[in-house]
Amino acid sequence: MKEFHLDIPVEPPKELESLFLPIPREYVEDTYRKDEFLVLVGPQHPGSGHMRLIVRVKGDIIQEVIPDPGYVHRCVEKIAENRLYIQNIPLVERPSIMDSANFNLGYVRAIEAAMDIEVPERAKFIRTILAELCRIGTHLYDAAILAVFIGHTTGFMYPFGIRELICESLVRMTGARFTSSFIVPGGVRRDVDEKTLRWVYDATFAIEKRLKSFERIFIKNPTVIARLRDVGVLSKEEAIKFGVVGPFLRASGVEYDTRVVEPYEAYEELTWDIVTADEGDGYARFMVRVNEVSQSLSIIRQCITSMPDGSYISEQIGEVRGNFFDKFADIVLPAGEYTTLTEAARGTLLFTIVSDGESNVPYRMRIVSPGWLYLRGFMEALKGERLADLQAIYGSFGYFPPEADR
Amino acid sequence: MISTLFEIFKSNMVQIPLIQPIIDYLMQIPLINFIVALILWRPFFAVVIIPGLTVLLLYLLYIVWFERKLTARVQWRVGPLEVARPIRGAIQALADGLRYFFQEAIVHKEAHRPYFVQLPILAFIPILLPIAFIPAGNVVGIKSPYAVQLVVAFLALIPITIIAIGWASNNRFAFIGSVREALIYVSYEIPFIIAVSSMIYLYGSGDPYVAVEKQSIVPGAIMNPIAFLVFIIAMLMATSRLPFEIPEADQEIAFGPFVEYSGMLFGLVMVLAYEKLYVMALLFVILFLGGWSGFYCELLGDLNAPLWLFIKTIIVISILAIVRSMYARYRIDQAVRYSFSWLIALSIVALVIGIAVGWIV
Amino acid sequence: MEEFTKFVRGGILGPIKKWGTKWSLWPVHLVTACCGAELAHAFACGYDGERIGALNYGIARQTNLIIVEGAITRKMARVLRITWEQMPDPKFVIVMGACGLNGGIFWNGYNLVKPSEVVPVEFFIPGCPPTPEALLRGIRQLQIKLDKGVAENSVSFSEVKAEKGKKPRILPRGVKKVSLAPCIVIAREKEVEWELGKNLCEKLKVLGRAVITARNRIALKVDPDKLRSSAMKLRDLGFDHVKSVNVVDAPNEGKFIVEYWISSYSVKELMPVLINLHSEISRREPKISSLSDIFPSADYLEREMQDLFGVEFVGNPWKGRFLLAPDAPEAPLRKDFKLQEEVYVGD
Repeated sequence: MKEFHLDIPVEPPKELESLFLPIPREYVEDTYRKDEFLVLVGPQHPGSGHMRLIVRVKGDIIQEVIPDPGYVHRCVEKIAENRLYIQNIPLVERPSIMDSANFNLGYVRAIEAAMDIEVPERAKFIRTILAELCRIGTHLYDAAILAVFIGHTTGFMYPFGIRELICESLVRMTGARFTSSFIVPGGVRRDVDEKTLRWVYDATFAIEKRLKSFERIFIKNPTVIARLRDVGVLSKEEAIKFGVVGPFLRASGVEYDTRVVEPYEAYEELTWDIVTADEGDGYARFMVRVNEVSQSLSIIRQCITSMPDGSYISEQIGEVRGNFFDKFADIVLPAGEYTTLTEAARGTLLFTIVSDGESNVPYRMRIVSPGWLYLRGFMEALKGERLADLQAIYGSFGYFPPEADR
Repeated sequence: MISTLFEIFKSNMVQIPLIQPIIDYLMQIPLINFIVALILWRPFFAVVIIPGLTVLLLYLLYIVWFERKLTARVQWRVGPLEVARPIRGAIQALADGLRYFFQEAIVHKEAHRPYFVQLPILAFIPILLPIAFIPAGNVVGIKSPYAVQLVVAFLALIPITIIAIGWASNNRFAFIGSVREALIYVSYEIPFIIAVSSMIYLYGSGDPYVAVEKQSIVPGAIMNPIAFLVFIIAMLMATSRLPFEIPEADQEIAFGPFVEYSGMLFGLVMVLAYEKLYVMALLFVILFLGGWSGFYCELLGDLNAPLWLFIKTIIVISILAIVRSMYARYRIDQAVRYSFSWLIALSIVALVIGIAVGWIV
Repeated sequence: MEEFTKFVRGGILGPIKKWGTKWSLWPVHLVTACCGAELAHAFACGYDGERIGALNYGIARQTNLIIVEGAITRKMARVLRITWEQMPDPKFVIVMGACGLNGGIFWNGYNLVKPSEVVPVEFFIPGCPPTPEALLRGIRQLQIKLDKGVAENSVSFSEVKAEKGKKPRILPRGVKKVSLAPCIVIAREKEVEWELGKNLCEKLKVLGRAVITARNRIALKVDPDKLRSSAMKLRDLGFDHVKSVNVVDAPNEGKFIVEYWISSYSVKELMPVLINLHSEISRREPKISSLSDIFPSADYLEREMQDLFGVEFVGNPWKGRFLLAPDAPEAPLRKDFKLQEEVYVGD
């Protein structure tokens, strides 16, 4: 079809000026002159999280998407420079609330790396269970959001029903539904008794059973497959180029999992597979996470059956109950820069702590959360798709702005 | 003048043996007897009481509650409950309606003011008109041998008001919603009309009385199952129910054409789809499920036929309500592609079957 | 706001209005922070807020309740106000989470706003995050308030006298020790057995000072003008993406240290290797050439650092602010921007 250029004076809608757009005025005018359309999705939109996407569409086809993040930027990096090392543990959990154990773990491991603390085996296993429970919880949350974004409300409710079991497991193990702050330098806060572990073990089977009904109504639903197949495809080269992480990278055919590449905690001693897919489309991204849930369930079971005896906290730290601040308030890391990689639920999580060797607060703490890393890939995946696919791709990435903005 | 009218009303009253003594008593009181005669005058009774406005309101209360409750049951939930515990929260829709009624109705600055306010009310005309033509036994508003065709024609007017609503809202999501509504409109209307005309060929007439009479042994659904299927899918598309809830997709375009409506006006536009569903289900029952024929109860007299029609309609709609919890939403291009490929093909097959069966019968 | 409560309860039709509004409090879909996860739980099948007539619904025009889910940032405050103004009267606001109450754990952050300064709030639900039960209790309290006209405390606790002779609570002693003249060492050499790393170090020596800082970690210091050529060299070696861009502010040395953490996905043996490509730039003229065209994955990370430190990445197409709100302070992560400090009150 031949296109004709019309040089007519255009007047972008007035509302665009009052809405605080981060893009220059020329961009808006250029869009309207080319007979295109700016659609602002979010932050108050039924199909968007805590961010705004400035979508430039031509007809129904998305030309370009400019993200406007920072709606949940809660200055974690700055506040962390003002608090003691131990006070930062609850702080770093808040950005990704479902995935708290993994964030907690990443931060604590950076401290342990700096102080050369050897973590006892039992603590490692408990940490692994917590991390995997949070991983399942996050994947279920993302599946629920994906479901509601493509209009399937039952697909929203079932994962949340299953998540109640995860929350209950976390409550029984740590005492909190979401942000447990259970992992401390050197081990964990308390020991977890046999009865609780047994309960979690049984809960994994209950979760599996309920996942079956979720599979029947959502995963194998023809409408869901029609919406997600061949949508938002990221090829292997693109995924690498734009630095996509975690399950979304694995869905594009790259076998990269920090748990294997740089093993930590108990992952080396357990048997599990890296889940990958080759298609790189929305459905592959979803299915990789669905399959990871069953891997995680198997990891939890293995951890519980082969749980070693011993102390739950390192001897270098000693008993923490009752004298928590005595043990941890005056931690001073040796001068230097310590970086750890952790496989959080949504992908690689990088913690960098810079210490000056004298202060008992971090000199600089850098968190690069998975959400922030794959945002670029997410924006690229949207190009050339239809406007209705925006929500499907959004859901298939499970983008969670509090985690990305920190 | 009034006495002439009274005579007209009186000559054509609905006969209900169950409440006949009460009516006889009321008819002796002046003025009241006029009102009673008016209410029981068959055309008025059909349009205003059953299957018209009154039961339409009851149906709206019921279907909103039932749909929420059914969805909740599928989703391991309870659904609306605390508002009226003994009746399982059945008046939840009434509470919502009252809240909408007393809320501020905002007409925003950039809307096309008169149209924005008038269109939700105007949209009622194409919904109420077909009800006048749909007969229920001998309770009928306007008797016409072309009733089925007329109903189809009026139904085709509703999307136009919705598109106009989207234009009057002057909002980018409303524009996108209007365009989607227009696309969906062309894609369901053709198979729908072909399916209906196949049934008209089958019965040899567009007269509902003929249709019901011909279904006295075998219902239309069995005589032409393909048309039955096409009609159901077209009904889902026409009333924007999942998986074809595309023009109003709330997660994508925030209720499309209705995005700017609030308060009472939103209450009016929100029920549009439900009312359209009601009218289409009435037509569906007449064409495929034997209309108002059913077990005859002496006591109810003329009320038998409207009641059967209403009950069958409610059952059809209640069964259709389950799709809300079963399916995700299709994309607009997918819906249009399906409709223009196999839905039209199916409807043509239905047309062939209709002509063949009509020729045999 | 009180006048809305009065409107709902007043007039001849008061009882009907009251009843309708009470059982139809529909929260608008405005997710503001992480408490949204618990809100979703409250309206999902575990707790089912629909029981009490609250249906989480699409957009502002059709709803009458805002549940502010936790922290409100400067950017979100604007949205909150716009949403509140879009909603038809009568409308109500419930704030959940400690952050919404008084900042919570983020109380001294530079980007936080208290919701009560933006919109009139009916109820606060404390907790971090509050449980779904607490949220539903908050909605019930609003219903009771509409019913009776006055707000009531939802829970009351029996008084317990403090016992003497208990172990005193230990507060962090000495509180903070902050070094006045910190010395920042990014690349502290460490002896590890790592053959691949030593080989890589040999290869990278031509570019700048390369040391192994830990297992799988190599720090490579280059001059700012050689940054791009070093990055290209790394790309040729098989490193293909940037995991992090970091800036460390060292005010008493008058410099910024700009770090790129570079790694590889495409070469299997390089996967665990993290190379910290860093260079030092003057604090007075913070400019460095961008690597976003060599590694597109560095693009957004550079924009963020541009916001937080005021370091200009020459070559990055984005100008202006990306992560921060327009009214947020300039370069807040520099050391000379101080946050309010907490004060411990001992016994």
